[in-house]
Amino acid sequence: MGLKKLGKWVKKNIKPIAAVAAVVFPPLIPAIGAALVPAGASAVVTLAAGAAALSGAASAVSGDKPSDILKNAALGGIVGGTVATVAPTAFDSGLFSGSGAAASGTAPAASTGVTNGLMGSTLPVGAGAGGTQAVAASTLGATAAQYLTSPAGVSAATQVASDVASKGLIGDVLTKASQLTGLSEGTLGQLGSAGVQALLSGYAASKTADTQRQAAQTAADAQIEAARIAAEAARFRPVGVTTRFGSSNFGFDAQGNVISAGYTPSAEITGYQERLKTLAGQGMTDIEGARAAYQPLTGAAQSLFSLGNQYLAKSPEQAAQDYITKQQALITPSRQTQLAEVQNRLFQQGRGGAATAQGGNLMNTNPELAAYYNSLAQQDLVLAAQADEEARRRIEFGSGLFDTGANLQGRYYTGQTAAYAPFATAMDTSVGLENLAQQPMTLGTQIGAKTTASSAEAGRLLSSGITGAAATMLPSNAYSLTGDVLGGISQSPLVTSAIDKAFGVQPQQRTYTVEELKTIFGT
Amino acid sequence: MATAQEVQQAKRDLIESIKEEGLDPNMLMQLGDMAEAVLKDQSLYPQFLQAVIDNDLAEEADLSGEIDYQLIGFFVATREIVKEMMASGELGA
Repeated sequence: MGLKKLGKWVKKNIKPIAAVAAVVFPPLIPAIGAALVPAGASAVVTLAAGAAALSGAASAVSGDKPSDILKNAALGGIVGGTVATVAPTAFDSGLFSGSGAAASGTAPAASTGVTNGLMGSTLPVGAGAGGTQAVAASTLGATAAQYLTSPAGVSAATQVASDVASKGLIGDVLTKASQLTGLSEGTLGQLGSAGVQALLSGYAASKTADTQRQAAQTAADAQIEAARIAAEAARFRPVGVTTRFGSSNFGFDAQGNVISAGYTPSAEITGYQERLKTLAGQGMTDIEGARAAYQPLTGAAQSLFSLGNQYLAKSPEQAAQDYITKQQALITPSRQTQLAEVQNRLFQQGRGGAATAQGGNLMNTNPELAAYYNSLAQQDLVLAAQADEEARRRIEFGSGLFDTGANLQGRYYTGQTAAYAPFATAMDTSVGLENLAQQPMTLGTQIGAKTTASSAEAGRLLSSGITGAAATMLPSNAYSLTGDVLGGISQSPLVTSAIDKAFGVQPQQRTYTVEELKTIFGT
Repeated sequence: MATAQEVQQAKRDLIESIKEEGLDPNMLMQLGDMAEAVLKDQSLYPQFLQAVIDNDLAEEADLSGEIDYQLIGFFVATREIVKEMMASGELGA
């Protein structure tokens, strides 16, 4: 079941990516293996099945026996043309059953592998899967892995890897592979060099992933610790301060976090504030009474406005006429008296009807009466001139009344505003005293901020140092000597060649076709 | 086992080809998720194949026979590479 015609992009990339898939995503091979082999199979078998299927050589179906999967892998080419002798029963030993029983099949015992091989003396003699001792393959694999990740195992692996690279010690390599995988040397031989490489690659990828995971965890732990130290150092630590005017109060929780801040004014400050409180109360009373106190100004202002309106209600002509009328009313009695006196005097002198010529077109008239009436005319002219001036003065006076009224109205408001001054002064003074009492808390906060900044910088430096150290150590920690050694071994031409030699595979030896292998296996 | 250089080269080649073909990184990540799901439940394989076809990455599917684990592995690994490249900003979402 698959895609019959791959797209160009998939076709181009599938093999290169599949080849590195185990490195890109280490859990992939175990996951594929788990999908293929029955539950309970050993980790080695699971890895082998996964590696074979990922290589594309194995035609694997879930539920197939692991031996079938590996057999298919061999047939499909993972073992390739280099496989010369693969016995049909090679994959049918008890090893692959996952039962934990010692293999009793065709694989020979690796009785000497432990004492001479990479594992040194930490593993029991004959612990190979093909050995005669009843050691479960899965248990053996775990023990070997544990050993290989130990300092002694790493040291031994380094030494042997060096020997392999320089000398190609085939026997040791086989023994190591046997110890590691739980497969007997015979079984490994039947898997062939490529099969062994697949096993080692899968196991190496797994070990490398484990080491990288541990290294990442170590680095993450270091960063968390660094962050914790930096956070602790950066925690705000205010300082308690006491002055003549007060003292600061800071509250902390069990973790040292500031959870409250306050201050206590000195008795001197509170004494002043109490007295100012009385004054402020009186000031408030004044404020409340100011409106009523200044209310008369409003009535006076309205009266002035009304009076001003009356002055401004008349036109200048009317005002002048009124002036003339009033003045004439005043002088008319005296004029009448003067006229009577003139007429009486003329009558007494007998000149009551006498008239003299005035020349020109003018009528004849009595000289005394002419002088009298000319005098009245002159007075009226003067009076008219005074009336215009008086009209202007009335207009100015009327508008002046508005100014005065407006001033009075303004004082009504300014008086009320000024009434706030005693209260505001008392309050301002009290606030000033409060600020004096507050200074210790402000000082404690400022000093704490400066010292915290210094501590935070120190914590930051320490944190960055730890983080940097973690980053520096990460590649080293992530380096899986076991994985790399195994990976290198599996890729080494020396090893491949040596394995081939050990299995009797010669380059010039006959290459089997798939059909021939199928015939051999009877499939 | 592939060397680090080989792995990096394979990643670079893959990303280059994704850009050349103008493939949607999110689509590839979705196919990777589906491929991983197939490893846990093989009955999902036909749907996975159909999704590959629907996204023009293949033309025809054979629903008889066996699961192609190389194809599964390819899409899972591709998802990981795309995810890494998107995180580093080398590949846009």
